[in-house]
Amino acid sequence: MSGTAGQVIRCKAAVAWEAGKPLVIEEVEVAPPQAMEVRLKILFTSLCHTDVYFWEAKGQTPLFPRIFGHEAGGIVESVGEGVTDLQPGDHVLPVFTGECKDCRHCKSEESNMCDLLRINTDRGVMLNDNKSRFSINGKPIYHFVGTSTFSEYTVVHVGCVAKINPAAPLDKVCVLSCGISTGLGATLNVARPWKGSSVAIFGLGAVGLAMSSTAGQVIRCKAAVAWEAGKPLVIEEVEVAPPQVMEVRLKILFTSLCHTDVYFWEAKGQTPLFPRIFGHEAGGIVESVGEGVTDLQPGDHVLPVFTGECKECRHCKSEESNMCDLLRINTDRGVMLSDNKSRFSINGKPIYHFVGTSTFSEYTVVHVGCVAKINPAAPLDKVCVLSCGISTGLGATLNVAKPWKGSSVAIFGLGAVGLAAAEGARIAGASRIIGIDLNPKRFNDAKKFGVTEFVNPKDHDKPVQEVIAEMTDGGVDRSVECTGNVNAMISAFECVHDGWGVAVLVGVPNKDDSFKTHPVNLLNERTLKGTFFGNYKPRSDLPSVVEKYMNKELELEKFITHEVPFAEINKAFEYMLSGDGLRCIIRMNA
Amino acid sequence: MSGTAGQVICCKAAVAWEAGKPLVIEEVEVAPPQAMEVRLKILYTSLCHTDVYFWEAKGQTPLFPRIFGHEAGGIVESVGEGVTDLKPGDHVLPIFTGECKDCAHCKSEESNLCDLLRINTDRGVMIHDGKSRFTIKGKPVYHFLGTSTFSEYTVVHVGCVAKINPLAPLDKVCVLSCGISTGLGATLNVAKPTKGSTVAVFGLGAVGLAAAEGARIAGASRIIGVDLNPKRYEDAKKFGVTDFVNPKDHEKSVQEVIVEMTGGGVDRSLECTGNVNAMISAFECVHDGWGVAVIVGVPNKDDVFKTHPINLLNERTLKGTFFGNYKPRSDIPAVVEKYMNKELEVEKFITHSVPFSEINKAFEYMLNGEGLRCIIHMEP
Repeated sequence: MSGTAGQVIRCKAAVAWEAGKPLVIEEVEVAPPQAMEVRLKILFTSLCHTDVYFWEAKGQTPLFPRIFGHEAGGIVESVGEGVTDLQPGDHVLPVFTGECKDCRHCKSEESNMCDLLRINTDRGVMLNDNKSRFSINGKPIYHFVGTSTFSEYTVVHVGCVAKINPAAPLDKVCVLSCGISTGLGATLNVARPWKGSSVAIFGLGAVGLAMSSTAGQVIRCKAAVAWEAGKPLVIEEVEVAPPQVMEVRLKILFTSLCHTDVYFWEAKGQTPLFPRIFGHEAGGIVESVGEGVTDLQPGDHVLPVFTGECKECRHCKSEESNMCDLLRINTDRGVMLSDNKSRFSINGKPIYHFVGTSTFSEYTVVHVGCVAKINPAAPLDKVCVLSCGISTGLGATLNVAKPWKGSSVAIFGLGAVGLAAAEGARIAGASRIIGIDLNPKRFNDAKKFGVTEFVNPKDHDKPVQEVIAEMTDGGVDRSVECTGNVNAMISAFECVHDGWGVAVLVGVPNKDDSFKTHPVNLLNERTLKGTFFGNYKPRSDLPSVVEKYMNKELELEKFITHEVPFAEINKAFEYMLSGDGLRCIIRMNA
Repeated sequence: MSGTAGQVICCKAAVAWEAGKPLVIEEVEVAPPQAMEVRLKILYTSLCHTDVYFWEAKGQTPLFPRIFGHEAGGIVESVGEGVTDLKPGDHVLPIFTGECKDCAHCKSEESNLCDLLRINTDRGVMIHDGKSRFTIKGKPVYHFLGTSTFSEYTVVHVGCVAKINPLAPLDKVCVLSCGISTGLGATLNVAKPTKGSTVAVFGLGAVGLAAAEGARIAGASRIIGVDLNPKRYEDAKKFGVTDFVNPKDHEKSVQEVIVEMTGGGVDRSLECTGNVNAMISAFECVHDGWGVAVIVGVPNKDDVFKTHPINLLNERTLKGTFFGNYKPRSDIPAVVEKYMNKELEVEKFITHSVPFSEINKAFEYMLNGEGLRCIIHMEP
């Protein structure tokens, strides 16, 4: 369910204030859809000569200010009363002429000139109430042919909306909502030339387009390839093979950089595996599915996850564990499980996968067990961050540490994972959230995530666990360790209160580190727990984390500090290596 | 109402004059209880290894002469000012750790580490006035753990006394005031194995066997007993132990052996030896994803628990426990009831019995590794 349903949306629209004058991008208010109307989010629109003709308004009664546009592709944001054929998330083409399905024209096999909804170039308001759904500071802006697609959001009669295949690329098929279909249909439906006949075409404007489905075929697309450890990624054209048994091919719309990508890209002290496509925090749409896949279909909105859930092994069946025997994280593997081969190639040469996701690519192939199907109304450019770091920290607190309302919590490490853990403590109602970090610059931002106090171990002579025990009359109720530094782990354990304290370790240590404590710290009834990916089962639990965001319990925007287009993906690495910001969203579509 | 209330009682006590020397039955004077104290007549007491440990006093500040003993059953003889929860004639178990019911620990559902009355092995006097209630010809004799039950009469803080069902046979349930409850509670309150789960118990002395008994009560399908002494296995079967592993019989580490036996690790483990290597093994032998290891045994001061953090990131849990996480006054009476309704078997822990005059035999049995619990009868 969309967070904007029933509310006025403020968005940008290109308003024609006067005939023939350049359109001005204005902030407009778009009212919610009324009975038999739908509100659409327009993703792509194209210009057709009819827009120009009425914008020039020579020899007609001018109707201004007006929002033009009638060739477009978009997604349903919300529906008005009585609408049953469409639901939020549907991919659609708004059309300048409609089909009520009730009148004699609609019932005729031959006619498309619906009595109720046929094209009307004079009308600038909605049929329902003769009013516009657009306004600027309360002053109405006129509609155009019932579509007005030169606006981020528009309101349209349900009879003027064609619901289409969600796997169809909207930036291509939007042209089918006017000119191309007009010409194509004129030939195929009306002129109907037979094979071998001769045809004369008067006017060589827009040309008919053929729509092809990509299912079952190799897709050529862009991917950011790491050819060598530590060297900038290169945008290459790669071939992405279709999904095999129990696999799905995803179109990635947004991805973000997580430190684990950087760690394996630097490949210090590990067996390097190159060339490789990194990336494991992302949001996308299913393009096609392989044999045996029943839980997903093309068009589903999904988060690919670096660890999976087969739903059959003892771990998946256990209420507690998320460490699937088949699909648990594997940082060494660079190929798909079903045939030990990669689905990526450049001129036939394989490119390795990374943790089964490889989201730094316009298309990727993933095991179905590693894909979480989410609410299609969730903005993928925000919730993509939930497929790794944020959920890891959030779940460490909410699922494992489980602080009660009013309790005290210490968070070690105020990067994205630590701040997500703090956010979890804020959501749980902790009364004190003590943030520990060696970098004092992190404290100010940390306040947005509920952190109430800050301790810098460098500022004290005594160990930080003693400082915390003093601040809290014996120790905190819960601590969450999010740095991976083994000394911080020991401090996190020793700073919780005896009798009931629980310390949760999140950060991944170096191979040779050793956790050391005096056993009396355990005998004094402290508990030490580890966690992995917030103890969330990817398929079963992530969708509900998305819902926490949708119902505004969880805030994500504050984690997103930067945004770059795919072509500039290396900037995301620079930000992270400089310790700049938290999450940088990489937009795949320019 | 006792005729002795308010007066000094002269009675017999087994006094340790020197570290490691046999106890001597002496006539002692036991002062009446002061504010928030009660005086108990001890009917039965048993020897626990912690008594032996502090009697040997190796590597600690010795505190002598001292009256040891902290596992016992008795009857309230008289109460001091301010005591409302107990009255003369009540059947009780004195306990080496207490419950004031006021501090944050007592109020917490989870903790039993009372701020005021938690175990203190150094203190040899009463909290109220910093003095002992025992004297021999006017010279003070130190208390132990606030209980000192190797005496016909003793004085204890009211917060350290559990009032129990008067029908419970004190010569049996006295063992519930320390070791058996420690092991039992470690399993039932902390490890909490589910029916059909697998459990490993390290150390098959009284505490370990009590932990195994807890696993039996919980319906565990496999209880793997780990001990360096193969003689313990036969008896361990009575407590539900189904498999036995002797680390000496294997070249690989015992945690690897257990992981192999169980297809990845046990669901729960309990460490009841105090040996820090056993603690590490107990932690590393539980299954990733859901395993919980509970540490019971008390280690040496300078021991260090070491493990690779990846063992925690693989979703293992490590917990410590103290006295089975039982709150002495609130929870121990219910443990007695488990015995009364036959859910818990206590007789099998009691292997020997001696009169008070032969209390040193109980030490001999324990030092020879013989038996589990020896009951000392105070009355001839």
